[in-house]
Amino acid sequence: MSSISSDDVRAEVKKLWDFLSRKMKSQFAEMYLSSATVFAADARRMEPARLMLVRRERELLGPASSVAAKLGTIDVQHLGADLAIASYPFHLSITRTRANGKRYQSEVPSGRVTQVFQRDEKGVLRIIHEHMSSAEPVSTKELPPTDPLKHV
Amino acid sequence: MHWMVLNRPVGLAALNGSHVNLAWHTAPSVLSKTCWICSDRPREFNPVLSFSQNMKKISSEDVDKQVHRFWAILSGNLTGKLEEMYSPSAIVFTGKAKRSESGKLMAVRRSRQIPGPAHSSRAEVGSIDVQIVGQDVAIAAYTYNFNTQKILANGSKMQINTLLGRATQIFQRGEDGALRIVHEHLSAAAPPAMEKAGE
Repeated sequence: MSSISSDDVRAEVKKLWDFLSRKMKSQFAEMYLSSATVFAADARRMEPARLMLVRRERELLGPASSVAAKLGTIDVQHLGADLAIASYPFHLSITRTRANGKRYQSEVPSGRVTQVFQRDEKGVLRIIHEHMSSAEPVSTKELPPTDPLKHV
Repeated sequence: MHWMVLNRPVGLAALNGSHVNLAWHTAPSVLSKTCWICSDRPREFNPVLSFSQNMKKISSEDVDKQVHRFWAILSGNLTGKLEEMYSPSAIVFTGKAKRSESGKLMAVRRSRQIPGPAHSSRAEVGSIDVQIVGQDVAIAAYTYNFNTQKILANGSKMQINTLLGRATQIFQRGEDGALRIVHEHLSAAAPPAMEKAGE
C-alpha cells in the first residue's frame, strides 16, 4: 500500500467539512473510526467520537441548523505509512438547535484543530483523534424562535 | 542512513562509510547499537530489515512517564531541557495562539518562562488516555490544571491558573529509542484565571 500523501489528507479534511456543512450525516460519521476520541471545542473532557456525533447530529445537522467553515492552511505531518496528522486554523459560523428547541448563533473566529488520520483495513483514511479549540472566546447569541429570514 | 539487520557478526570494515544502526540477533534477545563508521570510501548497502521492527514497542507506561516528565520540567520541579522533549519537526498549538508553530521554538520560549525555585508552580494531570497507533506512535490525551507565576514587563507578578486545561500530545519513538513529541495541542475549556501575585 502506498504512503499517505499530504494531498490525500487535505482532501479528507475538506470532505469532512463539506459533509458537515451539507448535513450528510452518515458520510460525516464514517469519517471517524469507531474507537476515535475527540476534544470538542467547548468540552471540558475528552469523549468518544460516537457521542460527539450524536450531539452534532442533534444540534448541527437538523433542518434549522447550519454550519459554514473557512479553513486556513492545512499542515500535514506524516507518521509512517498509515498515519498522518492534519492541523489548521479555521473560522466557523454555526447555528445550532439545543435539546430544549432554542436556537443559537455562534462565531468561532480563531478555531484550531488537530486531526489524526489512520488508514483503516480497507485503506480508507479515518480520524482516530480530534482536538478542536478556540484561541478567542466564542461569541454566542440566542436567535428568536422563528427566523424572520424564513418569511422573506 | 542505512538500515540493516545482521544475522551474524561481521567485520566492521564491511560497513565503512555508513552511519548504521546495528542489531545482532542473539536469541532470545536482540542487542542493538548505533555507531558511525568513518571512511573516505562510502559504500552502499541494501536494507535487509527495518530496524524499527526490532525496536521496543511503545507502552502506555512509557507515554505516561513522558507526560509527567513534561509537566515536571514545565513546573520547574525537574531539571531538563524542554526542547529535547520535542522532535525537530514538531508542530504545536499553544494555549492562545491562533496558528501552529514549531515545537522547538516554542519550547525554547517556554523554557525561559519556567519558574525558578523561589516561585511556586504546580501542575495536576488528570487521567491520561493513551492510544497506541502503530509500532512507534502514541497519542496521549488528558486534562490538566496548571498554576504558575508570570513576571510582566513592568516587573509585577501575575498568578495564572489554568483550570480545565486539555492536552493532546502525540509521541513518536526516534531512531535513538527516545519518545519525543511530534505534535501538541494545548487548550482550555475556560480562560485562565489571573490575579496579581505578592512581591
